[in-house]
Parts: sequence; C-alpha cells; structure tokens
Amino acid sequence: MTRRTFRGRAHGVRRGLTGRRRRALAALVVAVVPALAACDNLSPKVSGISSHDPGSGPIVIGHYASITGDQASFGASDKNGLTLAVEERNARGGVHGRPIEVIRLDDASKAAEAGTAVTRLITEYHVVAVVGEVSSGLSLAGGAVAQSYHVPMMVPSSTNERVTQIGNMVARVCFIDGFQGYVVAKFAHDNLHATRVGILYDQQQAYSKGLAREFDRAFRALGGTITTRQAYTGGDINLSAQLQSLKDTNPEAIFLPGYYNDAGNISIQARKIGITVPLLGGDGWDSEKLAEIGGAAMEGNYYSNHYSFEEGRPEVKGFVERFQKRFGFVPDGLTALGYDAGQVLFDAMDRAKSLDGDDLAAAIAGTRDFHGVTGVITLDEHRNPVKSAVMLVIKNGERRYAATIPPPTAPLPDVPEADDAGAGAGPAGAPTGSAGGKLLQTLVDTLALGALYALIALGYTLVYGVLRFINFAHADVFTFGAWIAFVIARRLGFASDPSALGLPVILVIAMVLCSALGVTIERLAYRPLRNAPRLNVLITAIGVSLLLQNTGTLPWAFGPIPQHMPALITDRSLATVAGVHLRLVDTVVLVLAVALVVALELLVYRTRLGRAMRAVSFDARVASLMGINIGRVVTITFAIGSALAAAGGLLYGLKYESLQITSHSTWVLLGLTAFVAAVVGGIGDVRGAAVGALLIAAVQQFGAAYLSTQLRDVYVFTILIVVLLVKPAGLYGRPMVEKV
Amino acid sequence: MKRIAERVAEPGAHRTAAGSAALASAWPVIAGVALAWLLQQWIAPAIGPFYAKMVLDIGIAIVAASALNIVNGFAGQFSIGHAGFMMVGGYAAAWLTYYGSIRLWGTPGLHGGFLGGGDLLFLAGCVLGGAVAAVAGLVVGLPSLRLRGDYLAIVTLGFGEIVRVLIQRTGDVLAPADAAHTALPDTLGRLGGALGFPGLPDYTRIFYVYAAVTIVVVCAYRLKISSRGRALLAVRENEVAAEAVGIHTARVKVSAFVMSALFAGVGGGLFAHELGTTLNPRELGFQKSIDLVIMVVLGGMGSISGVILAAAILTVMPELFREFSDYRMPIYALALIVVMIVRPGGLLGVRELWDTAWWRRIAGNRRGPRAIARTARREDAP
Repeated sequence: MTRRTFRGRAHGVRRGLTGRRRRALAALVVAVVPALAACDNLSPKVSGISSHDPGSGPIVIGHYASITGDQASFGASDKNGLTLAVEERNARGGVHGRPIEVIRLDDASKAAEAGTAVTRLITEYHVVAVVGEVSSGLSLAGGAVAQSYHVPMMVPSSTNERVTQIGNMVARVCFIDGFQGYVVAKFAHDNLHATRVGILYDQQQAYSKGLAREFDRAFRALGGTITTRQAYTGGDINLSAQLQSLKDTNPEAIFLPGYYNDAGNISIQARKIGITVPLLGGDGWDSEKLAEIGGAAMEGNYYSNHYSFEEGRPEVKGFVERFQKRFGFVPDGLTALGYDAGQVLFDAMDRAKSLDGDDLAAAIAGTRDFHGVTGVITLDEHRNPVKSAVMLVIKNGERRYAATIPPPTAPLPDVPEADDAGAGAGPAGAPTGSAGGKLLQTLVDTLALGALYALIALGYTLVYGVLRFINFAHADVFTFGAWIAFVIARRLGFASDPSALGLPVILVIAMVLCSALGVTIERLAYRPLRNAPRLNVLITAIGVSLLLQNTGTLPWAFGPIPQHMPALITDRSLATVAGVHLRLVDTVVLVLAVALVVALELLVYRTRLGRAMRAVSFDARVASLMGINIGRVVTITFAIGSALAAAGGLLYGLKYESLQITSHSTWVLLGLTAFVAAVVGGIGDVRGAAVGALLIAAVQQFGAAYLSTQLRDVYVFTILIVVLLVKPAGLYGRPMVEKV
Repeated sequence: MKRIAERVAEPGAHRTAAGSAALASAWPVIAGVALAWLLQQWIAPAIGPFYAKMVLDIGIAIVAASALNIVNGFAGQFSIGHAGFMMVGGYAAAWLTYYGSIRLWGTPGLHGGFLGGGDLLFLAGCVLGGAVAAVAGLVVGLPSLRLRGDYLAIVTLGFGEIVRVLIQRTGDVLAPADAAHTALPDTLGRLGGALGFPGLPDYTRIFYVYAAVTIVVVCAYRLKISSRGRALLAVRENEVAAEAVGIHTARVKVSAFVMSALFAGVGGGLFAHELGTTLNPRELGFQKSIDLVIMVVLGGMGSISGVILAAAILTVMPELFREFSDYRMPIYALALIVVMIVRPGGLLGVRELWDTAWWRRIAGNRRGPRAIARTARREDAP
C-alpha cells in the first residue's frame, strides 16, 4: 500500500451499473427532478397545527418539568404547585364545567428534550396550553415550539428577559431579572444602607450572569458603587482567589446570584477567609437545603423571592394552609409560582372567547389585578407581571420574611453599561489588603489544593504505571470517598460533636471501603480486558465512571441533593502572618497529604512489594517470568490508589464542606485537573504526580488571583497541550519506545 | 493487496473507467437525496410533527455519530470532546445565518421558501460550520495525534471545555437594528454567552438533514473501502505494524480527524437551526460527547450501519422511557461496560449490518458485497 488516495476506487466496488438498475435509476431521476423543481411552494415545516380542543370532555393542558436531571428539585416544587391548583379547580367544577387534565412530561433538565417534550405535548396530546419551565434555558427551547404552533405557554418561574420576547404566546407569572436585580439593589441601598457592594457571579449560568448585570445597573443607578465584579464557574471548588479579591475591596455587602448549592459552598468559604458582611442572593437561593448546606455561614444572609409563607396576605395564608394539608410541608417560592401559573391560566380560560390558541393567549395577556399567592399580578405589554417581591433573611437556619419591595414608581436613571470585559480581571476598587498578604494567601491555597490534586493524581499514576491505561473512574472513587465519609460521619454521630477520634476512624473506614470498591472495579470491569486493545479498556473505564456517577445520585445511594459535610474537627486559626490565617483544617489537609505521599514513595522504592510493582511497570511479561504474581500486584495497586483517593475525598470534604451530587461537574473537573497534573508530571512516576499537582494548583491559583478567574480551566488545558508538544513524557517521565 | 498493487501499477487502467465509476459512485447520493425528499414530502406529513421531529433528531444524531465513527471507529483514536466540534460548527453556522440574514434582508427571520435565499444562506452556514470545525480539528489533532491514543481523549475533552468557556464569555447577540450597522468582525464576539444564541431561524428540515446524512454516510463508506480507509484500519489494529508497512500514521490520523470534525461541524449547524433546540454551550457539552461515544461503541466501532442503527435507537429511547430516566444513564453505562467485555468491537464490530449472519439468513445466503468484514479485527493482538 504505497499510494493512498481519498478516492474510493478500491477493489470490491462494482464498476458501473447493471442494466436493470440503470433503468430504475433513470426513472427515479426523471421522477425526482421535476418534483424538486416544483418544490418552491413546499409546505412550511410547521404546518398550522393548533390546539384541537374537542369542546367537551376534560380540558387538557401540558406540563413539562425537570422531574429528573440536575434541576430535579425545581421540577418537584413546580409540579406540586400546579397539582394543587388543578385539584382545587377541579373540586370547584373545573373550567366551563369541564375538568382540567394535566399531561406531564419530563425534560430531564435538558433544553433539547424540553423542545421535544413540548412538541409532543402539542402535536400528540393536543393540549390547549402548556405550563413550564423553571430554568430560562429550558423555557426558551420550549417557548419557541409553543410559539410556532400557536399554543399559549404559561411560564411559572423563568426570570430571564428573553423568555417572553419569544412571542405573544408566551407569558409568565414571575418577575424578571431586571426587576429582581432592582429589588436586591434597593434593599441593599435602603435597608442595609450599603453604598459599596461586590459581585460574585457564575459565568456559566445565564441566570447568574443576567442577574449580576441587572443588580449592577440598578445599584449604580441608586447611587451605590460596585467595588469589584468577580466570576466563577459552577463547580469550581476553590474560590479563595475571587473571595480574597472581594475582601480586599472592603464591600459592605456581596451580591451572589446563583443557585442554592453554590451559595452554600461560597458562604462557607467566604466566612472562612474572614468576610463578615451579609451576602445577598436572588430567587435561585430558595430551597429548604440552603441553610443546611451553608450551615452557620448562611446566617444573616438575604435573598429576594417571589413570596414568603410568613406574609400576612390572605392568599398566602390560605395557600400555605391548604398546601400543608395536602403535602405535609411548607411550600417554597417555586411551588407558589407553579400554583399561580395554573390559577392565572384557568382565570384566562374563564375569560377567553374560546380555547383556541390566539384567543387564550389574548386572555392571558389581558390578566389584570389577579390576586395570586405571589402578589397582585398584572401583565404588562411584554406579558411580564408587574408585582412586588419580598426579601428573606436566614435566621437560626430558617428562612424568615425581611421586607417587601414594591415595583419602582419611576424608571431608574440610565447608567453606562459596566465594562464586561474587565469583569473578573482582578479587583476593580482600591485594594486594601497588602500585596504580601495576597501572595501568602495564594501560596497557602496552592499548597492545600496541590495536596488534594496530588492524592488523586497518584491514583492515576499508579494504575498507569502498572497497567498502562487511564483509569477514568478514579475520580469517581474519589467522589465516593468523600460521600462515604459523609455517610459514616452521619451514621456514627460524629456530625454533632467533633472529637479527636472522629477523623482517624472515618479516614480508615473510608479508605478501606474505597479500596474494596477499587478492587471490585478492577476485578469485574478491567481484568476481563487485560489483553484487549487499549481503547477498549479506556471506554470501559469511562463506562465505569458514568456508572458510579449516575448510581451515586439515585435516591437509595447518596441521593440527588447536595449535602453539607459535618465538621469533624473544629477549625481555628493556628497562626496569623501578614493578615493571612494559617488554619487548622488546611494544616491537617497538608500534613496528611504529605504523609501519604511520602509513605507511598517509601512503599514503591523501599519495599519488596514496591519492587514488584516497578518490575511489572517496566515489563510485565518478564516480571511474570521472574515469579511475580501480576494479578496480585494489580489488585494491590488498585487498593492503594483507591485508598489514597478516599483520603483525598475526606480531606476535600473537610476543607470545602459542601458535597455536590456525584454526577456534578465539580467532580469531573477535579478529576480531570488531577489527571492533567499526573500527565504534566510524567504519568507513571510518583514524584512526578506530586510535582505536577503542585504546579497545576499554582497555575490555577496564581492565574485566578493575578490574571483572570474566568480562564483558570483554560490555563490548565493550555499547559497540558504545551507539555504534550514539548515534552510528551511529562516532566519526570521517560520517553518510551514502543517495541514490536 | 495484490489487486491494489496491480491497479496502482497501471494508473491508466482505472482512469478509463472513471466515467462509469463516477456514475457508480453517484447513485447512492442520488438515492439518498431522493429518500430525504421522500421523507420530507410524504412521510413527515403522514406521521405528524412529533414523529417528524424524531426523524429529524435521528438524522442529526446519525450525522454526528457517523462523524465520530470515522475517528473513533476507523482510526481507533479516541475523541471524547466531539460535541465541542459540533459547538464550534453550530456557532459558526448560527453566526452566518443570523448576522447574514440581517445584512441581506434586514431581519433574522425565515426568508424564502424551499431552496430560497434563506435556505441557501443556511446551507452556506452549515458549510462554514464544517470548515471552521475542520480547522479546529486540525489545531487539536496536529499535536495530540502525534502521541499515543489516550492523550487524544484528554486533549479533546480539554478542547470541549475550552470552547465551552470561551463561548460562555461572548457578549449578547446584537438586536437586528444594531446588527445592521455593525461591522461584521465586531459581531464575532456576540454569540449570546451562557444562555445560548437566541432568535435563530428554524431552517433545518428533514430534507437537508437527510441530504447531510447521505453525504456523511457515503463519504464514510467510500473512505472505509478506500486505501486510505484501509490505512486507517491498519493504524487502528497496530500502529507500529502500520508504520512498518509504510503508512504515514500521523498524517492519516490527522486527516481522518479533520474529516470527522468537519462532519461534526455540519451536524452542529443542523442542530443549531432546528425548532425546539437552543444552541447553548451547556447543551453541546461533555454529556453530548459521551452520548455520541455510546452510539459509536454500541453500534460497532467502524460499522457505519451499526452506528446509524444505534443513533436511531438511542435517540428514540428517551421518548419511550421518559418515566425511567433516573435509570437511563446507569443502564447506558452498564451496557457500555458489558459490550466492551463481551463484544470488544461494539455490537457489530467493524462489520456492516448486511455482513451479519442473521441478515444473511433473512436475505437468503447472499454474501455481502463488501468483503471488508473479512478483515474483522483480531482481539488477541500481543
């Protein structure tokens, strides 16, 4: 095979056509060409399918919701609210004497599936109206479909401006981000008397980004100053660089738009580095888990919401009472919105000339002074409600009513748009902390983070050294380590009283359990593939990784809700240098990690077992001829690697306290970064993994502190590509010659 | 082998047959395009919009998965960031149709009928998307494909993440009134950020999708039975041995990778303009890449018909099992592991559907026309 071309003229292809086939082809061409030419008036893709309301029998409405996926808790709230509204309405005789029937489809929290679900509701179930969704990205996908089929869509709780801009069919009952930003700004300005506020937003979430921008605009229009705009990516575990920058600008409050799981995590970290001012949030914070995840760090923080169950209005009292009777717990803001979405829709059905799409949409748009649970709803010309919002405060782990903020009476003065490009590129205000303090803090963070990365990277490196494949599932063993530690801490009761005994006991149990997990994975999934091509093992590893991630979120495993790791040791400051605290937890993490790395180093280079491991790594066949039991060495390697991962998981829990669900991108990113560290250090080399981990941690922390926080992952992968180009075997690795 | 050698030795011999060969290679394309037209004109209206959308989704999945199959199945390299190429292509196409429509007609809405101005712009967008994705593929592939296979997996994964972060950082899409008098280069950074690209016209129709399917599948098939394809399969089986027989392994790998990225980019363009999808960085993230890998692996790495089948089944499955979606991913993952252990080449392996025993039993004992299956991979390579 000396000459290669892309022309597919290889043997085996029949040359030319047989007579019969040629005639058939000619006939086909004759038939198709004129037809294609005449296609100009081809019916548009969306034919005029509107709702086909039969005029009798139940009135069918569609509901698409995130019953599964990472927004499942939103979907559940939404669903309960709508269910109550429908049940109450049907008990009162339905609409026009006809009962309401809801067809509910799950969109698995994915936009593409939301579009499919709405298509199915409209064209297969012929619903007269659609209700949904919570997240704006999903409502945008579903709304486009509803608009094109001319079926009204009632959005319960997507706050992004763009949702109702889709067209006249889409209306909502929640306030929009522009208003919410104003509410929080107004509250900060009038009630907290703050003039200097910092912002920390999730650049990955449109919700967070949009809210940050609206708050920014409103607060400056009210005469306040934004000290700095910092960004993070949902799933970033270490935000100390951003928080330090925030602290340096001395704000009187910090606006933290994002979802409740991030908010909890961030408050913990903020309190640790000594930020004591109140943190402010938006309706994404509203969850009964908020105070639990954030723990004591959440106390005294405020967020805006659609309603509070403590409001004195009769609609709220009645709703809370009936809801508790039906479901047994206090409804949250999303539930109230789901309820109101149903109510406004039924009210419009009462008033509409017919249940046809256009008539019903017009009736919905004509909603005036509707007394809903979440306020008096009047839809404006963009089908957005004009109503007031409430501010809640976290007190003793409870969400309490703080204030009601009415809509602005006069438009706010225009202020120039904040320079978006500069956002997150370091502190914008005058830094008050010393440069040396910042450097030292970054250094401490680098060491702690590097130690964690090293513990994971060692697992990758050990397995790669012995078996020459990337154990993608390793990061998930780490995740399981953290969660197992959490479960044990709860079971053994260490959660309530931190004692000196707790940490070592949990450490040992978690390490043993994860070793067992690692060995099981190796036995069941990898050993049958010992002689298979490398690609197969890689795919299997990804399969194992997906399996662990997704079984971990099942209700009978660790559950689909993020949790808060109980404090196993009481954190305190050991020493203070240049305003930087050296904390007990950081010290424990660092000492333990260094001890484990040194122990591993001794094991590999000073013991018989270590010699056997190195022999297998060097040449498995020869090693086996020398009498080394390869299976045993591999098993032990997996046991050690997984135990290290478990230790890493526990230390992670100690340091960062909040545990995301097992399929969350935090873990994937963490594992990936550690893997990059192993590759950069020279995969297969113990020292290389440790050095690579420190290097990557340094790049991340210093890059985030001194360059841009938004690009920290870009730095990591850029380093990876550069190292692969310049020194493919990594810093410590030896280039390997593949022998035939 | 010998026959290739003979043919190469006398190039004139095959040049004379070029005319009839061109016809021979044209008929699958014509048949595919005719089928696409048939699907759109008669089948889609008959089955209703929802099933028509399923057919459309299947088509896009086939384009993307077949693209991945070229690099993953044929070349044996492992990309787990292919959705990143879809994202690059989708955004390039969206940029062209959105800002191009405003330039040409003053509004980003649908313009013209079937094969009218708007449709042509959309098709140009898909081509642009493919081209941009191909360039991205070259940039990613050049460094990593010189190295061992595992690194490609990591680098493609990193690539997907980097693209995602960069697109998230882009500014809001300009409103039509503003976009009309903004220089085109200044609109490049206006792609909507994290919430996605709003207001895209829904140009994607069954006809275009299946025309793309036809092109991708025919290209993949021609590649598979060409000498370049054989070279790829050789690289996949044993890179050292392939190099020893004179295959420039890095070059064939990179060219396969670029071709794969190109088709993925086209798939992204189709995805972007479909009704009921939003083009956003989250939608075409790591999860999507993994979905594509699952399609290729379950269908059979290197089997074109197998991947088509898997893409169709895995697209329809979520609709059938909406209630069990909690267990969807664990089941896929388990299936992936079991298939890898029990059938290391994927369900069909490198064979095509018509090379399987049960197909021949159904279709009579006719031997499949393409004898490539004979080179079924050896699993016990030392």
